[in-house]
Amino acid sequence: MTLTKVEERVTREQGSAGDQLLARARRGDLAALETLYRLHEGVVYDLARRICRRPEDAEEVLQETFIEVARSLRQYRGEGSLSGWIRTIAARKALARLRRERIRHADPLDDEAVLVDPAPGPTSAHRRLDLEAALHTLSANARAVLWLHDVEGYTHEEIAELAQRSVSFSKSHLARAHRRLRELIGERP
Amino acid sequence: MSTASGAHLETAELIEARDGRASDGCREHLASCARCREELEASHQLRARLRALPASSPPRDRWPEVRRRIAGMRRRRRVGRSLFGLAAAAAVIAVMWGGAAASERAAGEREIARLRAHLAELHEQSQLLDAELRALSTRSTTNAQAQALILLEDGLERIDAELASTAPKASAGELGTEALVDRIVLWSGRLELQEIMVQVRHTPLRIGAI
Repeated sequence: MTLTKVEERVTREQGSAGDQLLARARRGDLAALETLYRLHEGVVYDLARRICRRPEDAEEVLQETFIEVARSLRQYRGEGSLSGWIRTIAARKALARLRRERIRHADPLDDEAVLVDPAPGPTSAHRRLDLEAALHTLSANARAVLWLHDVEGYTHEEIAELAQRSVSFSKSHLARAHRRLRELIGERP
Repeated sequence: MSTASGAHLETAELIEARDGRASDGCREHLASCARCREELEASHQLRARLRALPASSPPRDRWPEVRRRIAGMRRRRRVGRSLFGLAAAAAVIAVMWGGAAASERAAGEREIARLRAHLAELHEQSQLLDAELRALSTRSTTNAQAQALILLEDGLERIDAELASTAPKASAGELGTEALVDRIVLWSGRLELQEIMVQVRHTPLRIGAI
């Protein structure tokens, strides 16, 4: 058997096993749901962690996402990847959490603060942060838009729909997040 | 952008260009401007670096909690279905007792109407309590009260999230019996939490008893 045929067979078998797993999970089989959880917990948590401010919030999002998956799996029609479908649920939940926080605490870190460019001068000249640290200086909304667009590959229209905001909200946050990041990591004069 | 005036591309335009959506004007500008080409390359690199950041993993296993909540959700559904089954049976018996020739389907429809009315009633009561809580929110609270209220609000948010995710765009008139029962269970839980919140707001000294 050629390598290509082996690969085709493996893909076919994996696809078939995936279908069976999905069918079992749709019937409410907890073992199948746990397998889905184990397969996707890492990407879901990482996505939530990039959007949420606190690690405990990301854990909550992870939890809520899989409860939603268990509840709504029958609605997943196989259009697009299962992983993409699950990540969209996670993104929606993480963004909803940010919205609730903003309403509850009238969050000073939110929109307006993000939309102000960092002051020129000593701040950008002396603080050269690594990318991870620089990401944490962004507002939650700017970080969320940046991550969803540049890493997860969502369009501005999709982000606007997920965040229940406008397309220009997404575009402006992305541009400003880029400028701020590049200043903080010392790539801009 | 100010390509017409000879100035450089803006960040948003560079991102569009990076993602293959540059306008003709931007493309022309990029062809002739080394600085903007450098900026474009930097935008590519920033994205690549973001994508290369190490992924973080959950600090502890959340599956046991997820499993517990899925089981709880199913239990509530089963209880709801049994209640619905009993009520539907009662409706059928009532129809037969009265000697009416209505079909079982008609009895089911009446039951759906009853569930909708019950849901509307719960919704209305919840709105009244929301208003009462808003009015009470101006009062000062003790630390213990504030802590209890935060916990209760978190519970309320979870229920609201479930309500939003179960049928976000459907009105009560479009819901089937199963979905109606699910929502009645959720709204009843919401009402209970709101009632406790009102109690907490009113009785600071008895906080430990709640």
